[in-house]
Amino acid sequence: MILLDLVGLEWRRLRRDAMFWAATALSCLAIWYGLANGAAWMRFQEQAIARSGVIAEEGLASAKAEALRLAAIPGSGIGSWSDPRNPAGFEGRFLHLYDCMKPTPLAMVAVGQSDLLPYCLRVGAGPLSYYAANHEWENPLRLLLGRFDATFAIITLLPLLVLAASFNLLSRERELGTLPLILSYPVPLSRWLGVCFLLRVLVFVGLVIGALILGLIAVGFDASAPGAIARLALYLAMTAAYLGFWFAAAWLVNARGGSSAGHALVLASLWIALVILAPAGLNLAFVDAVRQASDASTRKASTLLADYFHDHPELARGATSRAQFGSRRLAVNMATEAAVRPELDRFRGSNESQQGLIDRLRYLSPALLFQQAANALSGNDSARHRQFLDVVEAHRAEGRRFFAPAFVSDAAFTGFDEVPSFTHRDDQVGIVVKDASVGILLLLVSIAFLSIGGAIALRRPPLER
Amino acid sequence: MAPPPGRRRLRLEPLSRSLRPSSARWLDQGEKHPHSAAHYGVFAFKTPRPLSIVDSGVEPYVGSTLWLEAHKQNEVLFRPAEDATALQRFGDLSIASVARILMPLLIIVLGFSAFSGEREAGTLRQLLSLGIAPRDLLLGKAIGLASALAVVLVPAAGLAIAGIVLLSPSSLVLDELARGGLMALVTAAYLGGFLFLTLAVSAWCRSSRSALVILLAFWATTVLVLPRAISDAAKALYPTEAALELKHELEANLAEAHGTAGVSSRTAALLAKYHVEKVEDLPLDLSGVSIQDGEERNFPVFERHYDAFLDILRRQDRLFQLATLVSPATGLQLVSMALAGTDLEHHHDFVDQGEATRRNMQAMINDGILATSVKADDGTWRAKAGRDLWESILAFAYVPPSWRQALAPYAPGLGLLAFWLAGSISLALLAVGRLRAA
Repeated sequence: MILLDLVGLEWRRLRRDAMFWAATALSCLAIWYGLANGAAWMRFQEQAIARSGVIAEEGLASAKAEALRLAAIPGSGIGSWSDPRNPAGFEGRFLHLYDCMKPTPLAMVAVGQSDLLPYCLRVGAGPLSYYAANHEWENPLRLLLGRFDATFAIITLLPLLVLAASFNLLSRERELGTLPLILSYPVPLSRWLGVCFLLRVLVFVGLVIGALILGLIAVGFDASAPGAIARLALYLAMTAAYLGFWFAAAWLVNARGGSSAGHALVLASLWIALVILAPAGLNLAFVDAVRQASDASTRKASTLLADYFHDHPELARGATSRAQFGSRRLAVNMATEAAVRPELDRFRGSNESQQGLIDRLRYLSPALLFQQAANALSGNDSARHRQFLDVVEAHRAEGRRFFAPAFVSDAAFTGFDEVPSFTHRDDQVGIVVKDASVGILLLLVSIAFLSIGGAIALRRPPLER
Repeated sequence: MAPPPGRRRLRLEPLSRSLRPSSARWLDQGEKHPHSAAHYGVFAFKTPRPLSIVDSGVEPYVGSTLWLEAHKQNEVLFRPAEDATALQRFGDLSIASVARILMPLLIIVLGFSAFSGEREAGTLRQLLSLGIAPRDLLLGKAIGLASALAVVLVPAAGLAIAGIVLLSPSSLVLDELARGGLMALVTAAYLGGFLFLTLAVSAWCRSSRSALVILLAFWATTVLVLPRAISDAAKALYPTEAALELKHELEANLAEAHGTAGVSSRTAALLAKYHVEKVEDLPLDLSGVSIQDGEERNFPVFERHYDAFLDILRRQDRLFQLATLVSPATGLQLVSMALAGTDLEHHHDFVDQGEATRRNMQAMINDGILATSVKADDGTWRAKAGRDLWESILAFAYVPPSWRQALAPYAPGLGLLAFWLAGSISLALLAVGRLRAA
């Protein structure tokens, strides 16, 4: 029997495999639902970012109009904090400067950490704006549960469906008594089972990848955006490799013999170990311990920063002019930053240690490997956020330098249109591509090991097992 | 996370019992203008409950520190989840999540072949031919399975009780024990539902393989898929606006409230009392009154905004609660968090108490301005307060609601969990009833 005949025969059997088609259909539906959710969150962010621009423009227009109005009525008696000609008044009341991180073209595939970490920060000339509460207002229960995005579907559900479609390919034949018939074909058992699995892998993975592409097109994936195609290609390759890993696990378990119920138990246990226990256990055992240091630094830095805000009413004491008040304010800002900086650096160091630990631990679970890569490819990971915070910090420093001369001057502030603007460019695409490629390679190596293990196990006489 | 809601039901009355001497930081701030002290502010901390070890609930996502200061009802600070890595999004391994997610799986693994395995081995017919009633067989299998689980669960419950007694403040021990007992009861009902469902499916299916696949599919759907899917559906049905939009509206409304303010009734009363027409002629510093008037103008604005947001969150949670009908894990999760004191309602109770304390504190400080002001030679008013005033303002200590109050919003969920247990038992009885004909 030539290979093509075998493929044809298996294809006819596959067409009648209701469980396989149900698993495939459910996988596609889960991915589409996940993509719709991810796209809804992405649109929410985009709308908020667009709105931040409008609010900023309205604030600026309002400041200009108010400055003109007040100039026309000398001695209006308006408080300095409400007067845009006072730089502190302009900065505090009228300047709505939001530094926002735009979603990447592939943001809809994984919500990642983007629902937890602020994507728009209001920037002022005071110290360290990102310590203000900038996070999105969200139902904490939703944060606890996490989102049903495409990445959740792929990490958690699709392996179960893969296993449901493949856990008993060999044992079923044995239990139905049809294995001797199959063995009567003029092909080795390993080749028959190999074709059986390969056909399922190709059809399942092909349809899932197709569903992903179709879904992405439907939710408005912008293929022309810089880096979009590279990110998508890596995500699809990662998905294929991850699903391939679970097929390979099923192949090995099938090859080792045993009953269908036994296979189901072994594979379900493997899924629980790799998808639920390993990530949660690693988090509990290693990462939480590293977090203690960063938590302590956060609290200390915030307490120091709070002192700045606490003390500001006293700044006015004894100040006879706006310039004197401004000078003191700047001095306090600088002193506060100097006091807070070491703690922030320590926090940053701890935070990076946590991530470094996960980067090493991710090799212990394909689910972790996939999650880390998916978050990075979607741009919703912590590393991109840290880089965003650095750019925000640089912008805030630029703003402080811009406002400093005005703060120490009694002259009316007029530089409404000269406030430094914010630009954020992703410069970590290279790292993301490298990390994802390493992940794919590791999954392929795992698949190879599992496949070879299964092939070796199949050399033993099957009817005795 | 959710901003601090300004629920109208601010618990001003029982405030005295939630206060304790202030921190050294507050007392040692030195002499200063009382309003400076108002900005210096205090932190309000939510003391962790013993049962939060069992179920940390939404705590990592809401934070436990409030900064109480002048003018502003601040958001809660320090959300631990923000500093955590993406690993936490796989879920935690708390006792509650193990009971909710993994214990049903253990039940399935232990029980999927309880009847189908006997059938496949040919021993089921033998058992029935001995005259054992199917109902007794079900009971025996259920007791056997429950006994196996009890080996794990009973020592865990004993440890939890010991922990509660050791960790709870004496005034809360009884309440915590009641909460712990109820949590054990509700969890047992949830697991009991899975136990009888497992036996029902095992009795119904011809093969162990089918029973296992059906049960695993049910578990994955109800425990993993539906909670997230329902939470997303709840957000789609009851959407919230972006935080920056909500904050912008809040700021605008606060500014509007101040812009339209005329002479307050408090100022008018002072003008009448001292028989003067202009505030400048008053023999006292009006700034304390003005600041207090400003604070009180802010109250309804904060309340309106935060209440509207909280209302949406409650609608989302209500839908999640009703989803217990299709996913008992959602009902158990909500009830467990409520009993552990780590749900949305407890958080808002803490925020409310913090806000009530803030309002009292600001009123006392603004009275302090009035009491300590003296007119300087240049005609301006100067106020300076010291330790006496700082000591009169007691620190915040959170007083949690009783277990009855905590459970009140979750009556539908509890009812549906009871329905889940009853439904599973009925299904199991129905399934074993068919065994006669097998």
